[in-house]
Amino acid sequence: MTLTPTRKRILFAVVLIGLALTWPGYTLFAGARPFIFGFPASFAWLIACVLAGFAALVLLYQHDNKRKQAKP
Amino acid sequence: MTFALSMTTSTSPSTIILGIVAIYLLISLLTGVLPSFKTSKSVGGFVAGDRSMNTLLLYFVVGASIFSSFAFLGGPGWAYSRGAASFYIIAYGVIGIVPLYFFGPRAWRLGKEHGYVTQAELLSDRFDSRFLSVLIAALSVVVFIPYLTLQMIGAGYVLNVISEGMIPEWIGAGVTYLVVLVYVFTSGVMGVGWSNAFQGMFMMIVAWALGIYLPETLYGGIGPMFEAIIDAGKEQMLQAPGLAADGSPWTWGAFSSAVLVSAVGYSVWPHFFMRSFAAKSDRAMRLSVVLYPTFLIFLVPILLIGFSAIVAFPGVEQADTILPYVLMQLELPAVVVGLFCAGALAASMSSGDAILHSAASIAVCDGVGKVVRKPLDDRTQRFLIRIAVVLIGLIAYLFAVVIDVSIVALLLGAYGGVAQLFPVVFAMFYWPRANRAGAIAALVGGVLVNTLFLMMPELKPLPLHEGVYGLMVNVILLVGVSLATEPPRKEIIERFH
Repeated sequence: MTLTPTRKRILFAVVLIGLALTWPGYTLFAGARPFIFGFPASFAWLIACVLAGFAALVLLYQHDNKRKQAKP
Repeated sequence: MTFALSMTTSTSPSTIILGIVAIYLLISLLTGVLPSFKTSKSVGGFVAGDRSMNTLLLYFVVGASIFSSFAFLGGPGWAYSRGAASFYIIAYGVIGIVPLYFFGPRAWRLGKEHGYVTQAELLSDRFDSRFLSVLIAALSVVVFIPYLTLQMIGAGYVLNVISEGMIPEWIGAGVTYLVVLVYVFTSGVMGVGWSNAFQGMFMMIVAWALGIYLPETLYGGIGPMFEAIIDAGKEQMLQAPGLAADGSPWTWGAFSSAVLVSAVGYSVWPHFFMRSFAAKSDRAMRLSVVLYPTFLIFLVPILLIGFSAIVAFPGVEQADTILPYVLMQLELPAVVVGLFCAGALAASMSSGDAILHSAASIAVCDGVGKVVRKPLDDRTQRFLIRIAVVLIGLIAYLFAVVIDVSIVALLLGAYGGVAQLFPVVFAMFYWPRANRAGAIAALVGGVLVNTLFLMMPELKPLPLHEGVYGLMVNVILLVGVSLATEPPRKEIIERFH
């Protein structure tokens, strides 16, 4: 399957999530405070990244399905 | 609950706990053995389930086979002893699963067209090398044995602590893995699939129940629990990247490289990758990958279990036993403890069965099958895989009862070795110029460098995961040697690209 602009954008988002969970991205949210929904900032950031990763995969899947259906 | 309490008046708690564990093992055995009646008696049936796994089964196989003793015991153990360092376990999963979305459907299509059932079959055809197949088989078995050992140790730990030492670890691990051995032996991958569906659902419920219950009971909620950790002067445990094994702050280099190597290795674990061949369709394969983060979220309560013990139960030396230890301290009804105990066993078994099945399949299909002069017929191959199931199970069991190392440390070592497969798998699909010489040089070089730094960490130029150094050498050799030698044959490129 080719790299369409949408696929590229989603893959770029996945790379950003990877950077957000390692140095240097994670250093921005590495502290214990503030607490978000009872979780330390570092933990809440991690959960947010998992949810973002899930959203990216759902978008990728929907995009690919649409392309497959559009093919004759 | 009333039932549990009334039972405890007449029966000892240990008997109830062990009774629940026995029922759990029996259900696992049945769900694992029954699919043998529906699957064909061929190698394709045993190894790839006749390519009939739907999204639901694949979801649990992919999810449950990676969440293991490592997650259920090592995860809380790390959160308890190293705080935010444990976040790496979740961090690598998010990015590590993505390549499988791309590799999986391609592998599935090629498997359907050309009959592949293992990762090494695919690689050895693409790179036109039997030697590569044997090499991957050897590498897979070498990393699978410690991984399987780790699952057995986990099962032994749980039963030992829960029974207050009554059941020695070697008996606990032995009984649990006898059940696994029986259903893997009889049903192959479909036994793994159905038992994982049962075990996966079971441990998800247990993990969420416990992850919410413990902070609530011990501190009055998740927020107050983390506040208590800060009040106890342990704020550093909540700051990424947490603590190193010796209690000093972990470095960002070590944390990031552990995430990177684990993420790179994740999608190419042979037992994980070869489920692509068992998928019913490429859509089922892709959807199971897309849904995977929902399984990943289940690691959040697992880590909460470990965090909940930091202030309430300080000083537990063997951090990997923190979950069963806490359960025993809380004076919970025996039925509840029994269910949690069975959940931890489910985590161990749902990975152990997949590893055992894959290790045996790979050892025979990609190792023995490529070494012997005459091709093995289907019946002989299936027979040999079953023998290998028993032999590999026994070897791992022997290691499990004699070694003494941290569960997560063992797995981190194995990940470095497996990660070396990634560049070769990537090139197989996406770089037509990659050839046999390049692939072999990359794999051998990467594994050697990884092993060297694993054995002698003092030689590392920077405190990064040894897999990073292996991957650098791996990629340089793959590109350099491929470009310096003849390109692959045209018909091979046409088939794969």
